[in-house]
Amino acid sequence: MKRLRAFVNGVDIQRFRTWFQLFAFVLLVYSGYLYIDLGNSLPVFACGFNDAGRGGVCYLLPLQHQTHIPWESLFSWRALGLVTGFLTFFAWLLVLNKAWCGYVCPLGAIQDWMTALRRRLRLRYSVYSLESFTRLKKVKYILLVLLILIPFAISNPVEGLPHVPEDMATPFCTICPARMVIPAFTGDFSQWTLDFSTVTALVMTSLGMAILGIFFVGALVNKRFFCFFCPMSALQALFSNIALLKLRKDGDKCTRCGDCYRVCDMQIKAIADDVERKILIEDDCMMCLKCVAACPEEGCLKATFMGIPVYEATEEGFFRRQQRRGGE
Amino acid sequence: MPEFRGALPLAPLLLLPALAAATEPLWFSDLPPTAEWTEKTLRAHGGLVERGRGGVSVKRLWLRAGDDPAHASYLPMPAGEVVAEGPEREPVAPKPFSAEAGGGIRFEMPEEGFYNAYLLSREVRDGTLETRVVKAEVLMHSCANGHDRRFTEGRMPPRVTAGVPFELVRERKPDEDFHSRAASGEPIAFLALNQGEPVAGAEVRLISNTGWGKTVITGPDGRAEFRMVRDYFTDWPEFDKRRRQDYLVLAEYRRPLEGELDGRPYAQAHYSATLAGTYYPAEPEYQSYLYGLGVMLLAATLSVGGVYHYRLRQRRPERRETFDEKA
Repeated sequence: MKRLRAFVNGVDIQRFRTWFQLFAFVLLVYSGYLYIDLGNSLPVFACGFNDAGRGGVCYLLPLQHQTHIPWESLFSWRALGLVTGFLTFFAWLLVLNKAWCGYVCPLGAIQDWMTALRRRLRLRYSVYSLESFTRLKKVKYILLVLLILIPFAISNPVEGLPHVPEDMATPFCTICPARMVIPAFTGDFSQWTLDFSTVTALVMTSLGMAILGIFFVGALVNKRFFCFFCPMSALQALFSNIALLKLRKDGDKCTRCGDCYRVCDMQIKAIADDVERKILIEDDCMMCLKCVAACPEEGCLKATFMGIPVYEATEEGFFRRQQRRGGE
Repeated sequence: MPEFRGALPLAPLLLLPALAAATEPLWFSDLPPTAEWTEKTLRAHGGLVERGRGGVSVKRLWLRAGDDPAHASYLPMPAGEVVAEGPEREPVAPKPFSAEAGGGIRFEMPEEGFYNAYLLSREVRDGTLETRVVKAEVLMHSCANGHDRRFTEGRMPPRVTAGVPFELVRERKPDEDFHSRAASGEPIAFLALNQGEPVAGAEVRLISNTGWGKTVITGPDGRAEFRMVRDYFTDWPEFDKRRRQDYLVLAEYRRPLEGELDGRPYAQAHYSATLAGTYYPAEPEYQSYLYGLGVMLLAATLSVGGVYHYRLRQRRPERRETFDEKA
């Protein structure tokens, strides 16, 4: 058991993650051809617009459909769909917590591949200043609130206020780059259009295509560019403290060397600075565990599942990874 | 003729001539006759539905007469036999509804998939056996039930109902699913079948919402293909991409057949069938790839410019000490 634990703790987590992401990408983007269906409440961007190949559907799409509901129906059988959808989402989230983002999300994988491309092209990457980072963190919560409120407002017009147009029924999906990017991997470019049928549709689809253009450039120069704005990440963050997979820190062992912060794609400063909290899952964290791999202090950072350590910072593991890197 | 499964003999609800004697084509439509009835319906993937007990979708089909889908009148249900079956060929018992509501049938659709409903009649007139089949093929799909591809594909193929003497079947497209809709400008094909066997030489006529029509004679495979006409033109601000339009397909053929019905002999049989459906504006009518790519490239170019400009600004100028050597 001790040897197994030492082996796991010495694993090159980055390589493991790359292969896991590839597997998850194939599963969620292509396994529909094999009739695999993981349901429509997944806590990742398994885009529902990928009609042919999807192996499951991102929870945000049904959530927007389910909140497109009259107020009185919230207290009828129709609310059952909303409840069961959320419970399924919650059950998935309970298992992997925010590691869904780091290991499973297809859009996250695409961004990581673009980062790898940038490295090959020897382009310099950008980071946000601390003030920009603090400001940007709020965007995803605003998007989350809007994607729930707008469909609800369509079904519940308020007298005296202008009606919200039906073309905003799935407001986030219309502007989400995954709607265009993920179906493209199965050769489906049908979402790459502007819809001229109404002013609202035109504005929303233009916004979507503009965000796609920004996404391509942003993801090339900034690690996990879109994840800072992702409302799924915000939704996960609301429940991440009660999930089974956790990232723990023993502040007493931390030397504040800052290695964990330097390797963090999401620029989470608290991982280095905070020596008080035992559980350190920030809302932007994607639980990639690069921080654990970069930590040289024995047992300082660890990922636990139901309290059992599954991946832990060890001196031996740290030096093994360093040697491997030096040998490459 | 074999017995129809799940048949429901309907007494004449009003003093109308028998169904077969009616001169105008009869067809089923889920479009309510009044705004009051429209308010009772919900939009679903298979058209308009009502919500029944326990949340079950209920389909109401009105009987209409005339070959102009936009203006056909609503009729009370005449004499005839009503047959309906669900996606797993389970018999469904449609209930007639009163003439005050326009007249027609309603039935529950608890299962996902296509339901077939028929109103059938036979009568001997002038030595000819007149057989009339009014058919509706309606889809029940709720996204809340999921989108299992294997399940959907299993329920996509069209079915013919045992005992129905002549019917029209809409052919499925290769990539069709529960979300697919017929669109103007796209091909649409129908099969004319007699007890499931293709009928060659049947006259099949498609009439669009605006009254445009085209007639095709079926080949040995019983197939009649049309290209759905684009007949929705309006000022752009009024354009509605969700505008539903109805089409109507009529088919008929004759064949020599000797026999007797209710003591009345006949020497030939004349079969007629109707099937109605809906179509919508095609996506290329209101969507543009070119503009989409244009906006995307513009945003990407501006982003590249923005990043470049930002990085240029961030670059600190080299600090040099200069000395005035003459001083």
